[in-house]
Amino acid sequence: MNRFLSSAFVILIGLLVILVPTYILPVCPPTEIMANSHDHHITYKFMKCHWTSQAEIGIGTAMVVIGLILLLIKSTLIRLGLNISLVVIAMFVAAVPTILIGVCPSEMMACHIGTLPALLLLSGILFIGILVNIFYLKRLS
Amino acid sequence: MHIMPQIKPITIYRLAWRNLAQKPFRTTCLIIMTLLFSASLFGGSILTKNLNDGIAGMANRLGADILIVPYGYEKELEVALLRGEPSTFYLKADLAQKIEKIKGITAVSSQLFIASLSAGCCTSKLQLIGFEQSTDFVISPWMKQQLTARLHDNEVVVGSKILADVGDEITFFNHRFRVAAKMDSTGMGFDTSVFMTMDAAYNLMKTADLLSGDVDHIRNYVSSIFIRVDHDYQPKAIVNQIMQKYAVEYNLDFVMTKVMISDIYKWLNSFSVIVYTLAAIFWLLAIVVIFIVYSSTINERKREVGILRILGASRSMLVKMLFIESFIISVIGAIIGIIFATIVLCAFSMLICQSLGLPCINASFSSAITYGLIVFILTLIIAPLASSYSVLSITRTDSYQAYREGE
Repeated sequence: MNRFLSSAFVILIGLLVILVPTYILPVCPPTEIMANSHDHHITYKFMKCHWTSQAEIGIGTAMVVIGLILLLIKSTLIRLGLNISLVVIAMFVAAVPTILIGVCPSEMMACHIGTLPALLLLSGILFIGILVNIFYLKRLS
Repeated sequence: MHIMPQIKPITIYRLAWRNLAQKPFRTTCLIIMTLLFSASLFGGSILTKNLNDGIAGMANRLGADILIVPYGYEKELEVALLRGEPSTFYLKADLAQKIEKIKGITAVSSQLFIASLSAGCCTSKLQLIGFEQSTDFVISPWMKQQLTARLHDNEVVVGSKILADVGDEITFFNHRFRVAAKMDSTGMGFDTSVFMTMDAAYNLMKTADLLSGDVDHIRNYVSSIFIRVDHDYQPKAIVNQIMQKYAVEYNLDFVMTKVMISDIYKWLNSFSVIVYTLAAIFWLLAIVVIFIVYSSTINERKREVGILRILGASRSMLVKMLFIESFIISVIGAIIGIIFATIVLCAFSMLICQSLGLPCINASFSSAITYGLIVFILTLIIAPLASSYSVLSITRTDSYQAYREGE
């Protein structure tokens, strides 16, 4: 893939990894717990999908940064190395909501029917796109 | 020893493929045009089929003709049936005994709806439904396969999407219940509901302090009354009779299941019209764009065709090569479009159905294959049809003239 095209692809997927669990298909909101009935102090209990979304924000940010570096670096070998790191990152995008942290198990929850499949889809798209790019860069080098 | 690289023989298939690979941007754009059609038609058709099956399944399973609810709560009942969205509303229970006597009514059964609190982390509110086992004709017929014995007051039957298995304990308002049976998927709101005996539901309401006011006479209230009407009588006529006699005294509202189902079917028809119109627009758009792209490259390609004619290619070979080119575009567009729509549908079908608020049943593998084949064939004809004029006009010119015209 062309340098600009490949970095735009990585930045776009990175932004989507950040935006999907936070705005596009958000995870479940925290549940309100009235901790103290006297002063009506409300505390919030976060479900585990919330921590998945936090982790995905971190992973997405790393992808955006790598995408920007891909745009600036001309060396084929460095770009190849960065692309190989993106393969691992693509796996993390899928592993966080499935194995490492997870989402709510109920099929009625927003995170289970919206955020989870969207993140898996983004991970798959990134994985395939990066493999194509690695193949292209390997031929170039 | 120097080994000569092996040169692959030139065939019309290879030439067609190389022609497409030579212009990656143009080829990609043409493929996108065809895949837009295949993805929208395949995805839209399967989604319509899923909704249609879900609604048909619901119509078959819902054994009641008329549902009585308190005035202003008919939408809540529809939403509880379709989506399982929890709600709580009450109606005086003695109405059931009174309307039993009306001629034309064959069965009457009451249900009590309670919206649960979310049971903790990663759980949502559920619809708890108390039902009368002795008179019930709505839920029991499709619980028989899972529940052989009579349901006890400390037992519940859970919908297919509830995260509990038979034998598990489940807690609602600090009351523990044993899961006696789990229902098969219905595609409707009952999948996310929990069923218990009427006594258990009343006890739950009383001890959990869910009702304010007339707590001592809690058994005088139900949420809805389900009525089955004799085939020889019109449900509308029965509704009119109940209205005249009891509407003012009990402040009632009615849901006629046939009207509700036909309203949903009307909506589904409009939805399928939009889907197929969109697909038709994409089909025409793909044909027009490919026609324009091929027509605009006639001159450029006349030179290429002229050279091939001079090199000895026959006219039929060239026609074949150019048609294979357009055929490859259609095939790739059709395959990618169908795969894309399948992935999106598999990933988001539940989200789509929940957003639409309608019951869904996933289409069978055989019907998906049938739809896929129809879409594939319709997509296959796009590019060859759109390019036929240009192909014939390019190859009609004689070789030398074609070569000079292209200069």
